[in-house]
Amino acid sequence: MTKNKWLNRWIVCRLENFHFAVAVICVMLYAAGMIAEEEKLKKAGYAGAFVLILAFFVHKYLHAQYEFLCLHRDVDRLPVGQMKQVGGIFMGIFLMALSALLAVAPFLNVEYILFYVGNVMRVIVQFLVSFLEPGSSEADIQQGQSAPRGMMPELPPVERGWLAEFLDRLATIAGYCIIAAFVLYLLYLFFQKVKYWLRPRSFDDDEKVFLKPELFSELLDRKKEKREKRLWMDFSYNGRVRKWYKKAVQQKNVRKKKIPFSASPSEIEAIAGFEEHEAAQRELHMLYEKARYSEHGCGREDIVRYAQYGRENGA
Amino acid sequence: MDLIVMVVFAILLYLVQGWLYDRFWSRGMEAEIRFQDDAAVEGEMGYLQETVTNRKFLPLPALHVKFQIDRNLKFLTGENMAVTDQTYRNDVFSTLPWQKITRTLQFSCLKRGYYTCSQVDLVAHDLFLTKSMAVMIPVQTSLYVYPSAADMEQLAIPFYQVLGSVLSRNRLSEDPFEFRGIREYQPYDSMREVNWKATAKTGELKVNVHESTASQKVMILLNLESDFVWADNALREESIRIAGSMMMALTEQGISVSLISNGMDLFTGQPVYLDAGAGTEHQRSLLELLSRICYEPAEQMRRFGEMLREQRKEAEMGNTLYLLISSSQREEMLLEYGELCARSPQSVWIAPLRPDDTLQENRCLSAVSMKWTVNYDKK
Repeated sequence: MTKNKWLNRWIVCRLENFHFAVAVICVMLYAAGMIAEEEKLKKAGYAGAFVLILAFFVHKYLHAQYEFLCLHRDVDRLPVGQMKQVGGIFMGIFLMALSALLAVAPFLNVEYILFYVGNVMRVIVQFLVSFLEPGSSEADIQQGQSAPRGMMPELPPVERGWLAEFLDRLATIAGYCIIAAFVLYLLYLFFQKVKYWLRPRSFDDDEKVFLKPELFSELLDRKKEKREKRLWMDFSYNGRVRKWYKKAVQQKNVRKKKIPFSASPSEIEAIAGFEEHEAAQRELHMLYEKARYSEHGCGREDIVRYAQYGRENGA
Repeated sequence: MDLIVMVVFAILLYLVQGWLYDRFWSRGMEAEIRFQDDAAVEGEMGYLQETVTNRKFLPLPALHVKFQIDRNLKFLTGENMAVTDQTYRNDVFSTLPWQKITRTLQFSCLKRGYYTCSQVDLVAHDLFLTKSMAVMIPVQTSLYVYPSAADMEQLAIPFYQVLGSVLSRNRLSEDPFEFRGIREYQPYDSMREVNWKATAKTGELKVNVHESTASQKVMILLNLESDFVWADNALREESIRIAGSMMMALTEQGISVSLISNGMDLFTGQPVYLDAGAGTEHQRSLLELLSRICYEPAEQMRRFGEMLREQRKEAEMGNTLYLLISSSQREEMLLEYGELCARSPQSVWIAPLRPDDTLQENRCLSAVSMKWTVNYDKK
């Protein structure tokens, strides 16, 4: 509970009747504004409903939490602090999402959407009715297609010079960049605050550990796999040996036979048509197996030795 | 119109969070109950670990972990449990996304036995603590509670009696092929036993010492029958404690110990039998067996007299000392024991009895009888 007794009283009491009464007042204010065409009344009703919905959910959550804690008052090691932290964070996220939705609601032009939906429904119904009453004309179907009131009027086009156009666009881009930077800064501050609030705090004797989300570790593993497959990017000794081997196989595989991905080096050489008695190819085979399968792979000596061997044998 | 849209959005969002919890709350959810140790001793403390892991982005503001366990494991704190035929425990957790919480609970082992926990029930709530969702997770954990040590002052007498009987048999004959060590020459030693190499090295006469031909074996006969309709379980438990303590003390002296009892093994439902052995592994097996002995229902227990008769047929001559632990003084059973003791003199009968009970020593004259007093405050 909080330090403020009125807040505590608000949390403890069941306020369904009070919320209902306030909702009725807001609806009446809004309706009065609509009838009398008074924007101020409409806005007052709208704002009241907005605040009431948020307050309703906050009260619902706090009251439920209060009742839960009272019911389990005697539970050993009840994680009160942790429950408040978890509930607080995600109630905050819920309220933000709700506020965003409620704030966006007036701009959705619901009347416009409903008008068009109504038109579509009317057309469908009249089309179906036309089968029962063949005398109905197409003019009936076209009825009611005029747009509702309240649409924004179209502005007449204005001719401007290229400099003005350029400056206008530059200013627009700059404005967007500044707004984006400001939003990013606010988000950064917000996440720093959240990180601070989520810092490890010992509410009780339980041992708490945060796990690494599997999604990130899976992505990292996949990236690692992709890195291993890109031979052309591999400039290590192993990579060089593998490239030599690949070149030798491609040179020998004149008939372009298909080599399965799972083939072993011996199978690859048999398919490509390597000749077993060729010493250079045996040397390359051993080097490739070392690069591909051994624990430590090839080192500089192996590269130097093979290069020297190649020079001596004219390979 | 805007008001209606607002209300619709609010209701939708509320329903969406309820649906999200309903659909995804148990994904990535793991719960485990585990005893920290494999074994504990009667009267001592043990620890139970509860681990809850939430491997997803959905937090759980309130999560109940419910399980049941035998009432003889008494948790020290908390009212969040009901103790009737079992202990029903209900713990509450609250987890953030990708969080693992481990809680350790301390309990007291009131009685020896084998305790398991096979399932855990999880009950979660949504963000507004209105909806409840439940799932059952199987777990597998077990704990042996060994019988506590018997009163060492009372144990000393029968223990040294048994030890003395075993050691005296060892001196009867030696195995010339089993070398044990070297010691100084004594006047009663034969010249054939002199180790001349050791004598030359040390300048004093030294003789070889050999192992005994007779292997040192003690068979503990644990009888859990009762002479009365209303059996005194305290005497039975004390008999088990005596068996455990004697076994530990004898095996530490290097003596092989085996066990026969008409108490039933919890796993097999059959009378308990364990071959002779020594060492820490054998001690552990014997203690686990003693933990698993049960004597209810009494009508399913075999008559101990019959078991002794069967044992008499298989008994080896003179190699085994028979230690009977029985509060029952039935004549039929003691006659059979007497026949057994005829082949193995100086066997011992320990009779755990209440202070007012009388030991009928004349019913078994072949063995050394001892009354083991169990006070009335012991239950």
